[in-house]
Amino acid sequence: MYDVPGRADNVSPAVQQAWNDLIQARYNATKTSHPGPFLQPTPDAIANGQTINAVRWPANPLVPLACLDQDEELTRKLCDFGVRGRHVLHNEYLEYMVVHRQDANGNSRPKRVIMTTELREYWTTLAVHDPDFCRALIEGLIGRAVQWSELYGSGVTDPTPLSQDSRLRRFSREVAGSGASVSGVPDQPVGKLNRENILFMTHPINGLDDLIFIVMFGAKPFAVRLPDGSFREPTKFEIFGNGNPLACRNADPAAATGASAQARRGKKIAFANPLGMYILSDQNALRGLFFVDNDNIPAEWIRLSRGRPGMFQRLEFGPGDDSPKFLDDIIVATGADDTPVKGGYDVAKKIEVGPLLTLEQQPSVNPVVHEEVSAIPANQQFRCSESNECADVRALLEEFEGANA
Amino acid sequence: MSLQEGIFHESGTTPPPNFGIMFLRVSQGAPAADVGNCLASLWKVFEDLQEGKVRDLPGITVPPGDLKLLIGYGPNCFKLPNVRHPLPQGLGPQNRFRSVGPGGGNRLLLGGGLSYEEGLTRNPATEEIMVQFLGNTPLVVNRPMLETWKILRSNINPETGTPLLQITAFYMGFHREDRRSWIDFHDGVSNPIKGDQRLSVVRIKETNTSQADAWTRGGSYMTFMRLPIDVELWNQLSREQQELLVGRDKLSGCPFQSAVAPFPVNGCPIPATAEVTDKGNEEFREPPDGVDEVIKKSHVQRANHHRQEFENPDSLRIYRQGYEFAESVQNGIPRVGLNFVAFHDTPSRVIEMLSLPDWLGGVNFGGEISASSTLIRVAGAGIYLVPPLKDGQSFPGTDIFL
Repeated sequence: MYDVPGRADNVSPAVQQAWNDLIQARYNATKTSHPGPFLQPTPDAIANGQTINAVRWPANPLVPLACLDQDEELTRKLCDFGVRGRHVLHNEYLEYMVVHRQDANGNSRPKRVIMTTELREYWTTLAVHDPDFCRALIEGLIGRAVQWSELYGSGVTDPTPLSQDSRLRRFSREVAGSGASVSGVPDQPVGKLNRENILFMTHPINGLDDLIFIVMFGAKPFAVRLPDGSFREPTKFEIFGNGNPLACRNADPAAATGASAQARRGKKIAFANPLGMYILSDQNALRGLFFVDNDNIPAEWIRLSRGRPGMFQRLEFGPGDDSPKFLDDIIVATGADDTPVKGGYDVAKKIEVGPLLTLEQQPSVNPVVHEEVSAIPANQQFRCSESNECADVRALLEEFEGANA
Repeated sequence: MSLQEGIFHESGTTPPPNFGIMFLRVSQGAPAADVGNCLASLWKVFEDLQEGKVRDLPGITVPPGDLKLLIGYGPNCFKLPNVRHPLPQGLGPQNRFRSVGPGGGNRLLLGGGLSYEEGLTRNPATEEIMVQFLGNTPLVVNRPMLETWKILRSNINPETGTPLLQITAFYMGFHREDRRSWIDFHDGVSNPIKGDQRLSVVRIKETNTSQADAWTRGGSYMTFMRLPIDVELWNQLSREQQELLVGRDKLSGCPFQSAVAPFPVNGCPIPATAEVTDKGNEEFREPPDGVDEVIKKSHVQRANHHRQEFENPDSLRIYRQGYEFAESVQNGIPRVGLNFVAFHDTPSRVIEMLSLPDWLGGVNFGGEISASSTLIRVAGAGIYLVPPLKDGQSFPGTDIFL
């Protein structure tokens, strides 16, 4: 039985059971397309397993960089383009929102950035099975009272009479988005609660489905057969197939190749308990990268929460409202370049996220039968700059330019 | 377009045992075309040396010694008057080391754990031009340096009356056939495998270069650091302390799984072998996942997170082709160290590795932050574009100047 993500909440047995049922259902659904012994349904299936956080990746969006001819300044602006940037581009299992405040001169400046790796499906489970708990949690995060209508749509003053399916649809529409899996509901939420605040992730690809899929997809001993009959490790394009845009991200290649590496060694893996997506960079280490007034930023400017140590899911980065400082007073040093933190992209780039896995200590799959994939010569590799997703990036760029004209 | 020689990425090839690296400073105000013409002359001299021909010894053939040449260009090269390419992104400020402080010393990177040597007031490895020589004997890698000096002394900038190019530093190094470093531990054994894997790390690819930098595709970037090691400090540590900092067994080189016995990964080394470098132990050269918290902070675990998507710069995998050095004895203590040389498609792989949390950020070598804060110092460091070989060019990178 999996605990809730990060062991962040004391939930009812019914919620925990529902969360586990959901995980199991998604695992089973994916398993039919990706059979094989390497990804086990629970860590209990692995004797003497050890928890690892080695499958991890930088949290900044990678796709726009390829689409925008490696223009990182423009990539940064688009990623920091409010909720539109979040909805279109934040697809590496971390989403963020920049909080602005007025400075002493009356100018609006970025004050801090709030980041989350919380899975949408956990929150929909709460919203369906324990509305009171869900509402209290939201109130704690945003610091104000919340009406039921903000969670379940206009006219709802009490969710108790609603069916579970109705709660799911209404909460998805208002707060969670559909994750491309709740029919008839927009991908992204239409309500203000998770647009003007950031509660948890809503980008369709940042979900439980895709997390299970990508690790299960990768948990195969992929290999390219060489002319002499031996095998070599494949590139990400060979694993995903030429033209697959998943190969153009940080998250999917890291998850798939990390899982595949263990499979090639004959080792089984499982999502460790608790299953979730976590911010794996710790507070002390992050302090070493950010400076204010020629010193490392104060520890209290890096506030990790929504989980136990090693499995935090929420980060508030930057000074609190009681400080005269602003986010752009913080300097991020990269190489010899010292630049003010302009928004969330600069912070996300320094953060690593990933799931925790349970790894078999001694290989138990023997012999390892390679999953052969075709070789792709380097000069024929897919160009991420030609990915279909670049159309979305360019459309967002037009929107951004229109908004800033 | 292909990589310059001197980057040993192909199966069946091994770097020659001797290393020399020379740094050339361009006279202030010298136009790019003059520099290009001078480099063309130099390159011809080097190519003659590859055939055993020495300019001042006409008709004589000396042993060529398998001389391998490689030339690279630093950020300042792209400030020369009338230079023909803009500064590539890979040499932008975010991909450089910090400067030496006005009073000497300074941290190499904010967030990193390496610092320049105290008293070092000028970084000798940040000139416009870098040339690497590899060869079978010390003479083979030294002779080009002297021949360079001969050419340059007669090549005066007419506007300033100073040499157009000046040798500002020359360092030597040698390969250790035991595949260990001066701290006695194995080193460089988890490099990307030769062939496609290594090439995917080394070569500048279309996938991560802009159109403006298209001319650099097929080339590489080189990171060089001259790293003296405080052997006095190191040898004050017990074997156990050393092993926990490195993350390997000192004798066998087998990577540690745990900070409590049994330390190394199970089965390493395989029967009838003694070291991880022996045949049959290939699977143990990559440090393992699933190690305990102490080992996770060791050098081998910090420097390599075992990411398998080698072609992705964010894997922070690099190809190291370093050479040891032994300079002298100072105050009764040997001054020895490593010429750290790495090739990669973008310098961000090294910059991030040295400064990011959970990698080598905040640590000098390994262990907890500050646990080994002065073991390694930096006597010089620089990052260079190593442009691709292109047909019809008189030397690699001709199109930067002419």
